Amino acid sequence: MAKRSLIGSGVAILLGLLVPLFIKSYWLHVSIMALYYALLAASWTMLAGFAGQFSFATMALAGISAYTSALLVLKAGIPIWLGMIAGALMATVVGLLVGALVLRMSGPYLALFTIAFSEIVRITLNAEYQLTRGDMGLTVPHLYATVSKVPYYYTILGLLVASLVIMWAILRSRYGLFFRAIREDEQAAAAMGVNTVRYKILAFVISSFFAGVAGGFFAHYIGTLTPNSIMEIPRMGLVIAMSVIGGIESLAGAVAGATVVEFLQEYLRVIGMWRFVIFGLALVLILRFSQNGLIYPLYQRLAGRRVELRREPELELELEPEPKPKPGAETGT
Amino acid sequence: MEFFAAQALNGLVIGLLYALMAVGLSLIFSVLKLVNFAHGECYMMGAFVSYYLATLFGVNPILSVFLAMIAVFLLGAVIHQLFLKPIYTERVERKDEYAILITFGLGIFLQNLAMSIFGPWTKRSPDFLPGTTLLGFLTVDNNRLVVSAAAVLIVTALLIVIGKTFVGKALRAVSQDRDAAAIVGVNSQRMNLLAFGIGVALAGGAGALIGPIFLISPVMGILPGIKSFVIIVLGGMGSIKGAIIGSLLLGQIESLGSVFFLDPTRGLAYKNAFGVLLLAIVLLLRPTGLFGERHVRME
Amino acid sequence: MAMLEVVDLVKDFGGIRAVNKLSFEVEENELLGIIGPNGSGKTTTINLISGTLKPTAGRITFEGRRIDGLPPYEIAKRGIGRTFQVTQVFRRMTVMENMLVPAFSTPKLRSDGQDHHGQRRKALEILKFLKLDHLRNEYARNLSGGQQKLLEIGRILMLDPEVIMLDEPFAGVHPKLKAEIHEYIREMHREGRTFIIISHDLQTIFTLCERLIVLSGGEKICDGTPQEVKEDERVIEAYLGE
Repeated sequence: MAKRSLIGSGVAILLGLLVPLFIKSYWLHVSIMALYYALLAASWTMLAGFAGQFSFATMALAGISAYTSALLVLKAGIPIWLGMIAGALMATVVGLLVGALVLRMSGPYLALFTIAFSEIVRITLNAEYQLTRGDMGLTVPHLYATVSKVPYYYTILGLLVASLVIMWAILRSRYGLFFRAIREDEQAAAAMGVNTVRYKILAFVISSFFAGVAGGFFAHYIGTLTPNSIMEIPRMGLVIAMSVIGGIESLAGAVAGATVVEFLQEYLRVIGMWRFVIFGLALVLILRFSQNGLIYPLYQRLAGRRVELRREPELELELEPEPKPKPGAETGT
Repeated sequence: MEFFAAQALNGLVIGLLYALMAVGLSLIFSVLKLVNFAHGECYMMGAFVSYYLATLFGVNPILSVFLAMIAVFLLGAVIHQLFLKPIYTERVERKDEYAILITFGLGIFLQNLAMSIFGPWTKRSPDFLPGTTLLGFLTVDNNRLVVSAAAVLIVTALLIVIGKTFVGKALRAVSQDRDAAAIVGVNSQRMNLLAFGIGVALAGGAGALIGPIFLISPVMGILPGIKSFVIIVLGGMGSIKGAIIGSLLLGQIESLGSVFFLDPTRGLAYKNAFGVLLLAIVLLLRPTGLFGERHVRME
Repeated sequence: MAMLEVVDLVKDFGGIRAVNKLSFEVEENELLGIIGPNGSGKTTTINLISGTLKPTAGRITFEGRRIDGLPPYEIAKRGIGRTFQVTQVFRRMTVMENMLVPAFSTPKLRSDGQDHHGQRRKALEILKFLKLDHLRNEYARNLSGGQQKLLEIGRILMLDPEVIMLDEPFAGVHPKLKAEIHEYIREMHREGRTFIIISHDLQTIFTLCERLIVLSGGEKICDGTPQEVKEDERVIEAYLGE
């Protein structure tokens, strides 16, 4: 890995670990939410920015995980950590389904379908209020018995770092290469032997899993769950805005975007709803003038590199070990 | 019997309003080849402009509707010039992605703008025509009559413009073959602008018309927006006839469908899901819609 | 049995029949050209063979096994590579990355037994052969049109295909590069590969190919040597109209 990125990541993690020492209570909550959104934004970036699947289903999947975990813990009495795993797996399975269903769709059709899916989930969860308590709110057991937010902070930090490492490893590997090829030109990728079906579904599966992880955490941190609080379309829009502002083709950008937007939106609470107007405006202006986003492309420009996808001079490929050549194997047929 | 008739009539009125929105969306897709994800918010803006014209400035409510349509047309023109024109002047890579994100982003922006300026509370627009009229055995309130008449009028006017006038022909030319249209002297940029403006103005008109019947609020556009997507996919993207038929159909399905649920609260809650479910199913079976043209990639 | 057999191939787009009961065979190591006026179905035929489009009817057999209806990536892995009429390189990936996509997407069917270092070495070799190696870390979008065409050819070579289908390889290319591409094709042909080339550049095609198929209106109207084709009445009529 490029030395600069390694040092940068190390510093970021170190700073992250030290946060609870300096930041208390309310702003610690904001930090936790920032990391929660960072995980969601990163998972969306992987699906859209890398694999080119502009899906609006991410929050719905996080919500499915949240409700799955909450309901299993409440009704079946399983331990919370198990619930969170179950939630993430449920989100993954549903995500796989969605990915399979949208295979033949592209662009606006995929967007429309995933918006429709998201709304169907939201409406259903609202309608089945006998089970989910709908808009009135489902009370969810907290992950930790303590009142302090500090254990929650380290939990989400750990989850985020672990998730980012996995996503980063995948994107550096040949899978990442295939994702990007699919986004660049799906037809050409297929002609080059890339199994577009498999890899598009894989992108959905991975992205959904991490969205599910985030959702499960959300449920047992906030303690109250309503369908609207987690999966209404404007909230999906917020995650997208975070990813775009941070840099649509960079995991680090997603984290940066989520952090900046989340902190700003708390900071600007004094101006009320206008802060979302500002974000909306920022989103469209950034898209208009810098299609790849703001923060990461800006960093690239300042760091002297060209404003493009970050280039990997060395490609790590060992996700599948290559077979050893048999002694005396013939070359060609 | 009366109940069903009343429901069907409601469905008709709603269907006509959906038709206004869907036809606008369809027009935009025909000419610009993009889906306007901010369509619901344009509908909402129309509602609010009309509301404030009527309540703040005392303008006749029916006139407010048409003024609101003009205002939304102008809004659409500005949006097009600032954000959509670059798609066609080759300033944008990955046009499909950009179109989705930018219209979606504009929708979110408009929604929050409305919430900040107008406040998040619901409001009710003044009546077009107070009172009710007896139609056979049904009592219909006059607002609904006005709305239906206006909707039919507007759509008919549009169909005439598209079918008979020169501008209409130019729009159709661009929707079929942009380059060929350019060769015969049609300014496709101007047609884009026109199509987008008219398209959103129709949505704004629908919003303004619904004011007296239902409450208006900054988030009122989300569901109707999604439903207009449903309709144009159902009817086939780019097919205006399909949009009209699909709208009337959806209006009836929603009105009558919720009746068949045993639990009325559930039925009401799921009412909005029918359209969305339909969208999902249609997209699965025919990714290009039932009647319309194939999705044309922009590049 | 011929290496590639196309039997009664049909492709309809709605009401339009783009390819109408087309049949032909390609022998191993042939250098076949497909020519014909615009809209005669040349690219559609390539799309059908490569799996980008599914045939409405008909059969396509490669090395004895049917490939019609298979997805394009399957067909690419079996050894048929194609370029596109308008170059479709992965623009925002580097030249090297462009080369590695096909390398990593094909498991070692041909038992080179190469590991990833080997694949990169192979990519570099091919790039050197095409005189593109100095550009390997350059983004594909920054290459000139001609270089992108070469990159497309290089990409296919990573698949190590038996059959290479080139769609308008000479279009919009200046004479010097045209001659180079001509030479590259000759050399790859000498290595034993089979070529199907679509081109409007009749001059180059006539000198390059030993055999030509002429399409018009989705049908084959002539199949023979360049000389035979030049003298065929139906061909002259198709190109010049009435």
